[in-house]
Amino acid sequence: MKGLLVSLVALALNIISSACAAHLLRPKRYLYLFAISSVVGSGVYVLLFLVTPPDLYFLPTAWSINESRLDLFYGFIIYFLNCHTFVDSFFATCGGFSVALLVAMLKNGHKLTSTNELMGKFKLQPQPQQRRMAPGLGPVDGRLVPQESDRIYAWRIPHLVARGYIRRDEIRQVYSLTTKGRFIAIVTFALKRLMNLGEGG
Amino acid sequence: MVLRGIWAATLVSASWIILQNLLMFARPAENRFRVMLVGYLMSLPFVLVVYYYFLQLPFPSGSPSATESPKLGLIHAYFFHLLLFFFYVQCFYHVERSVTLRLLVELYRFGCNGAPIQSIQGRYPVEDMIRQRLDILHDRGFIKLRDGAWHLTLKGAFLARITVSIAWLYQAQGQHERS
Repeated sequence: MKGLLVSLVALALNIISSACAAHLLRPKRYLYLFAISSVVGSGVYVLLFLVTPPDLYFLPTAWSINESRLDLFYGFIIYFLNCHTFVDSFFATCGGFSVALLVAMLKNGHKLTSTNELMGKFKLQPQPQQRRMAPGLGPVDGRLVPQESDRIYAWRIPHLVARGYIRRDEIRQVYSLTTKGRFIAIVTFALKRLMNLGEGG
Repeated sequence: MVLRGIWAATLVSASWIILQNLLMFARPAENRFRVMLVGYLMSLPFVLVVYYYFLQLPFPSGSPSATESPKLGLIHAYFFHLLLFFFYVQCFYHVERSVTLRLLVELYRFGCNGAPIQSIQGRYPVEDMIRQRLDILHDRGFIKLRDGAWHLTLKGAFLARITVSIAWLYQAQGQHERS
């Protein structure tokens, strides 16, 4: 029971500290923030587990797990699963496409929200108005490449290139998978088949 | 006791997840979340059965686990079973709904030659993504269509407000605000 309770304390500290860090650092991508705070939180978990007594000052003897290493390991698994739930809930809400539609409707207030209007919210400004920030140069006007015409592909494609999942052939102007991207695509494809899912996405 | 509870939860979870996925080939369901929830709820009694079966097995001599409360093992069995259910649902939606993974699968289908972005967008346009999601949100009761416009239901407004609060807490932007 000690492992479980200590893991819940470590999770709470992780959630609070990552929220504080987000306010201070304003990260653009949150996965790194959560990964770092979760790793730090796991260290806190182990430390708290080692410095506290087996009964945590209040647990009855019958409620203690007698094998300390099992208790430590089990608490760690609980901590990992809870961190996964926390991060997944964050991305399902703040990063989720469906929820973004709900938020767009909420922010629209009592005004009518048609399908076309919602589609418009995911389109970026047309070419002449689009001003882009070039590193070291400041705002520049330039011709947009096709994926920048909407908010779904505009950040996703450069992000996938930067993370090494896809590559861009500058001569032929095509994108293809790297070995890492191909591996992920094959695993995803296989899982979709195993679960009898459609195209999804 | 606790270790036996963990084993019972793992065994029951693995069994119902495999069974549910096999059933999806025989009779595919439209609302997969409901199927997963039903699978989880139906598996609850089996956790008790399997745990008590494991309790009957003799402990090795001198095992410290033998003196633990049987109730403790049962609580951990059900708690772990719940966490495994959450984990499964989360993994399912990573595979099913992820736009990024769909994008990689689309590129995989184009083969080694790759494809220009217009071809990918042609096979998987943003307009279709939005229409598909609006249909799902409508089916699940998050939004309703009135006079040609979408309106949030109470459930939809509740989820949207929670999201706005979390976004403020973490200073995050939604997909419709990114560029």
